[in-house]
Parts: sequence; C-alpha cells; structure tokens
Amino acid sequence: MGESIMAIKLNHLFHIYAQKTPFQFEALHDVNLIIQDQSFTAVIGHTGSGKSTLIQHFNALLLPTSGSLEVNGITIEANRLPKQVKKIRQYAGVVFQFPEAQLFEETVEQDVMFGPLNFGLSKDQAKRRARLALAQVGLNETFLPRSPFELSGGERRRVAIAGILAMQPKVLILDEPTAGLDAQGATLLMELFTNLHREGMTIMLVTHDMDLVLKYATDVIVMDQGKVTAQSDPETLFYGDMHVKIEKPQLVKLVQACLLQGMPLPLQRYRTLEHFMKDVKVITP
Amino acid sequence: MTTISIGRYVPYPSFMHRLDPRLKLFAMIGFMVTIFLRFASVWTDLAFYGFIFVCMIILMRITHLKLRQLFKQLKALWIMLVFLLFINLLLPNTQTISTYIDLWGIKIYVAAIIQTFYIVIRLVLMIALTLILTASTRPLDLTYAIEWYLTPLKLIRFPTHEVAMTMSIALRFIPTLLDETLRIMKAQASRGVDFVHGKLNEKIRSMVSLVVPLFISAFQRSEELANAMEARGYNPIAPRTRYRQLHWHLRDSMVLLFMLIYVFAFVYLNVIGFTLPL
Repeated sequence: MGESIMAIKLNHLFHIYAQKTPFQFEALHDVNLIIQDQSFTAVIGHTGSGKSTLIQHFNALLLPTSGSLEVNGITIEANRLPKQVKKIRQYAGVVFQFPEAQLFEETVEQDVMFGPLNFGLSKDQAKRRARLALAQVGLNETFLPRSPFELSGGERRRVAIAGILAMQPKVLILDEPTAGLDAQGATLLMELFTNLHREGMTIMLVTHDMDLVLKYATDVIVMDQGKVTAQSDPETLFYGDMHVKIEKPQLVKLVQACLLQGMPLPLQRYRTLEHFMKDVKVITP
Repeated sequence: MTTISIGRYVPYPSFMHRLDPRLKLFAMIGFMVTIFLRFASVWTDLAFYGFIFVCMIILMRITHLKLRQLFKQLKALWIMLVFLLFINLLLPNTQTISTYIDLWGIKIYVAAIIQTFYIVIRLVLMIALTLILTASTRPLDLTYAIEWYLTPLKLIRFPTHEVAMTMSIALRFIPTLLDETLRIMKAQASRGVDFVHGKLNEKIRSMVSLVVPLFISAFQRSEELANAMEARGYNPIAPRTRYRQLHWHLRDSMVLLFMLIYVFAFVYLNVIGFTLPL
C-alpha cells in the first residue's frame, strides 16, 4: 500500500520476442509510462500494437528485454524474474482476453477461491472473499455449487472476473473484458469496473471500443507498432486536434457533425450520450 | 515460459527447402539406417559416426540451421541422457561384459559406458536429422509425402486419405495448442499458480489448473473444426484434387541417386565386415 501516487512506472522498456532467431520481433520499443494510482487508464491501439505484451509485463509474465518497470515499488529488471513476484501478482490482477478459458474447478465457488488460496489465505477467508466477489459481479449464492461449465458464456466470464476480484488486487488490468458479450452484459461489466474505480481501485482497460474509453477512462494511452504515441485524458485526445491516428468515438463524430451543421450547442466535450441528449433537448423546442 | 521452437518450419529459400518432401523423407530413413548400423570395431564405428556428423553439419549449413539450435534441443534432453547412463551402468548387457573398473566396490563396465556413448551419439544424430527435416519441410508437405508412401495400401482398402488428413490436422494444431498452453499458464500464473516451485501436491494442482482448461478448449476446437468442415461439404470418401502439387525435379533425382549410393555403400561395407586398420 505505497504512499506514492504511481501504481506502475515503466522505464525505457523494450521487449523483443524470439530474440536471435528468424522469428525475432520487437513488440515494445522504448516505452516510458506512469500509471497513476486510482486512475482509470485505457490502452488503445491496433491489433499487434503491443497492448497485450505491455500488460503482461505488469504481472512479470513477460520480462523486459531491456529497460525496467516498477510495480507497487517493486522493480522488475530486464530478463530477471523478481523474488517478490507473488506480491506483484497479488497487487495487480490481470483479467486476460476471454478469461472464461481459465476456469477448471468443479464448482464456481472453488474456482473463485483458487486465487486467494494460492496467495496463502485460509479456506474460510477464501470462501468469504469468493462470496463477496461473486456478489460484486452480480451472481447470487445459487451459483456457488454449480459447475462453471454449465453456465452461459456471459456468466462464465463473470465467474472468471470474480476469480481475479477475490484476490483483492489494488490494480485491475482488463484485456478486452467485454469482447463477445451482448450489449447488456457489457454495460453491466463496465458499471462494475466504474464502481470499483470509485471505491479506489486503479483500473487499466485494454479495448478497441472508443466510446467506452470516452465514457469511463480518466487517462488514455495510445499505442502504435510497439511505441506509445500519446498519453492524455480522453477529452483532449478525442476532441482536441492531437496528431495521432485514432478512430474517433461515435459520440464525438456525432457532436462534431452537429456543430458542422450549425446547431447552437454549447462547446462542451461530451463524454456520455445522455449528457449530449440533454443539451440537444434544451436547444430544440 | 519460453517459446518452443523444436520441429518448427523455418522458411528460407535454400536448396534443402526446395527438395521434394518425399525425397527428404526417404533420405531421412536412409540416414537413420546408416546411423544404426554397427561395424566390427569401435574405432570403425566412431569414424563412421564422425563422417555422418560432418554430413549433418553440412546439411544444417545448407538448411540455414545453426549448431546452437541443435545443442538447445540437447539441453532439454540431458536428464534423459543421464538417466540412460545410469540404466546402462546398473544393468549392463551380460553378453558383452568384459573389462570393468572397480569403483569402491561398484563394478563399472567399460562396455556399458561405450553403450551409453553410442546411444548419445545416435540420439544427437537423430535429433539433427529431424531438425533438418522439420525446419526445411512444411508440415503439410510432409503429410503429403507420407500419404504418397501409403498409396499402395489403398489396394487393401486402407483409408490413406483420412489418415493423412488426420495427421495434417494434428500437425496444424500443435502450434495452436502450444499457444493456448502458454496463454492458460499465464492466466493461472497471475492467479498465483507457481508452475516451477512448490511441493508435489501443489504441483499436481497447478497441472490440473492447466490441463483441464486445455482439454476443454481442445475439444471445443475439434468440434468447431468438424462443424466447419461439414458445413463446407467435406466428404472423406469423395475423390479429391489437391491445392499444392508435388513436383519431382532433376535435382531430386540427383539427390536420390546420391542417397542410394550412400546407403548401399554403408550397408555393403557393413556386410563385408569392414574394419579400419588401427
């Protein structure tokens, strides 16, 4: 629980896959970043821009080829697995893409307890945490004794996320958590993450959905070909004229189209559709 | 958690890559025969092994493989090699028992050590061979070659095409399953699983957390693949054309001739009981 305000700090981080083989590939190139404590940071960029490689470093699942990073004050040096790797993994919980693939236990309860037990909690504590985490993702106690394999896709996803939440990490790293979910399920999850953020958790979200970024993030990191090309707040990024190639959110496109048509809107940087609609209703009798 | 590179196709425009896969398969078997031949004296054996080893180095050069890659494969096998040495020392072949060294009351037979040495040399040469073959031949081409060799079996209604299709699918999914394994390992590692350290029961548990999801995803994949194939009207009994045709070139004939001479020379020398004068 450091008093410092940075959760994660990257220092000239490079990562090269399969070095010195014909498959050599530089996935991260000189990345310098600071992830503020209690921020909601979105990471955006095209497929293959290095987002997934980046977040794997935060859990020492991949090690820097050169450079270093600092997670909760613990330094991860190039090519050296830190001794306190468990502390790092407990501090920063990663929800991978399609996390339902990691379920394996006989019951939902056991699967959610798996993480806390690995980090040395007693069975009772783990049980309590499992119940709490499942309640957080909106699954009630009837799910506890059920097999995770008989649940629907969306429910399985939520169980998997509960499995990470039960570890009570300070930083929650999410790799496309809403991919493949229906709109309702996606909104539910996003509401969960905002609530967690409000309660003081640092959230890091890898996503392709720019509207989610605009609506929820406090900070955006743009990646392109292994490099960080921009780091700013979403309003400046999407409404300002920064010279970064990104797809704009639907909302921004709509607002800018309305302004171009000469609608007398207040020059606001809208983050939600609801806010925008309210202003539209005011100016149209 | 390193990427596994054993038996991986490495695209290069080399002579080796251009050879016909059927020929390469034949050549590999030819080399294997010569590797397992034993001559009348140990020195003759060693000389021939040296010769084969030089051949392998030249072939690896042609295929753009580095010697380092060969040693990397061996590094993964050293436990097995030590185990082999142990077994051979403990259970010497009683027919060849000759001289032994007395080491604090334990009889260590010279023949057993030589036997182990033979196995090691053969293993190294075999690994080099397979490395050359898999690095220079696409898995699909290899299955075509195997299918071609199996064609005579069609006469006895052996389903050669189905076997070849099954093999190519299996080969195709090896990298996919490896990726999946790494993915799940990472996901479980961030849930606090330690795949390297820990007591035996912890290790078993961590393996369960890897194997169960892997099996589930493998079954899911096979079901999806079967559905996709059926949706496209795949019929295993129907006569099929082939997208990639195998063409036999002059260079293949040359190499075949060379290989035949090489194998027959070895076998001939072996049959006449050739020994190097020491």
